[in-house]
Amino acid sequence: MIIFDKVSKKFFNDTYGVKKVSFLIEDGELVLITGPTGSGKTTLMRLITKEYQPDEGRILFNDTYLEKIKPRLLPDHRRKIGVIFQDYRLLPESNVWENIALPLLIAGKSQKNIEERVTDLLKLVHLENKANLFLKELSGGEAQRVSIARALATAPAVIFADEPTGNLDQETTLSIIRLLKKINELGTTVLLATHDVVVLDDLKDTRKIELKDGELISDSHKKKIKSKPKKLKDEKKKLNLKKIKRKIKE
Amino acid sequence: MNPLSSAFTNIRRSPFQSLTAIVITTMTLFVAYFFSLIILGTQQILNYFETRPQVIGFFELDASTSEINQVGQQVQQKSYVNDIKLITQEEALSVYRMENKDDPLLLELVTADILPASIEVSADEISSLVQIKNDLETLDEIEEVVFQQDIVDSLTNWTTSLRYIGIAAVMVLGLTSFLIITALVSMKVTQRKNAIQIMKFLGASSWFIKAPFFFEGVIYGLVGSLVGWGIMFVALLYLTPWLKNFLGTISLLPVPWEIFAIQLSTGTLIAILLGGFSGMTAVKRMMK
Repeated sequence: MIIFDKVSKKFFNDTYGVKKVSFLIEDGELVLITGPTGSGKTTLMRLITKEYQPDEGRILFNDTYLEKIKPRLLPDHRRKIGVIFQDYRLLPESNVWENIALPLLIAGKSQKNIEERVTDLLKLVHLENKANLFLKELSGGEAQRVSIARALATAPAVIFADEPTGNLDQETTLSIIRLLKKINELGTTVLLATHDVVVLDDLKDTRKIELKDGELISDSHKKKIKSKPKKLKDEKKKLNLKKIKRKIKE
Repeated sequence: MNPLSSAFTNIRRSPFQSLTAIVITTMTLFVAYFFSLIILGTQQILNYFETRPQVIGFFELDASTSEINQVGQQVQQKSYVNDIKLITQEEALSVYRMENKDDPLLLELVTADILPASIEVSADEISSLVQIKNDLETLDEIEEVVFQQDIVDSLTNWTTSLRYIGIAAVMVLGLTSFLIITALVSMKVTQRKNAIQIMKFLGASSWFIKAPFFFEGVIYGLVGSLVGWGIMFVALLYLTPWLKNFLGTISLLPVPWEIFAIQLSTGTLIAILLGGFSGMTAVKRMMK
């Protein structure tokens, strides 16, 4: 579960990346995050991965408030989120196999485990016969599929795809979207930031969060934060206790 | 790929930069090993002189045997005196005869009663020689004290200067090595900035990112140390016949293998620390 609670992020020149954004995304959802360039889609991703700290509000990720994650535990948090970029961000000096294996190496998996997992992922993205190729030898669609396989390597709870089809033709775009839908059907939460009309058209029945100038202007399937997570309740209780104690003292 | 393999890959991908780092580290370590042997050698030369009679006191001609023995006991009791040797008039005559055996005229003219008895004193440390000289001069039985102060002072000055030069050279070269390795690793970190960014996104720990650069520095240190020691060893083997001839009766060569083992292990450890620290400094600075 991801909760954004009145989250704002301000940059140096007093412009907002996002401004008082609130939403709740439940486990296993597929959510489109749309809006024009500069609307705050990438800022949302950087806030979830804790590359940015919010100036206001709080973010809850899987029952943990992000501000409570200590710097030394940040890598563990990031391993729970698979990130897909428009420009793939693959290592050009490594081949397809090595790129997909990288998160598993980072996570300290055994060689046997890595081999099994990478083989499965190559099958999933239909790149079994391209394992030894390098980035410059791949088409845009293939590179993006490698990027998706890499994002899935550690079986993260959430995938954040930031304009994954920005550099692709229509046919390849649709194949990537099909792949992301399949991944979502297998139980992974997928956040898809895009302003690609092909994608929006193909996923018109999907929940859509729309941003403009950093503000959330619409949420097609808005979910009410009915019950606060247990941690939040506990903290409120603590605060109330403190207030009561202070009043008693007075 | 483990961090060590990544470090080797980094080195292979920029061979000239890596060669520069290895050459400068080799130079540093070669100079360090060279000076450590020189310092050890000069120390042993000093020890050699310290174990030889360094101050000679000549007795008055009328000094009796009991007075000579008493002076001998008195001097021997000093804490800074290592050894004494008393030479009687007869012994002095036999030495004289030995030295002038080819000149019968000189031998005819000299008898034991005109040669003074003497006391040869060696000290624990060269710095105590002046004290011994002063002690002997205060004794009534002693007529004259011979003390080769200039030679000993000069030797001490040389040893001290060599130590300072060696330490200064190693420090300057060590600093240069540190700066060069740091600069080269910094360049490599900059080249891999995108890859580092990607690894951070994928949840790489700080050590996972830094380790290849740390090991790269360690490899430079290790290789530099082994090559530097190898060059020093070959040079020593080459110079051994000349050195043996030069040193004469001073027995310094061959250098015991224990000395080499201590020298190589200490040098390699310091080189590894220097390389690793340089690599780590570079990557930390660039990742800020």
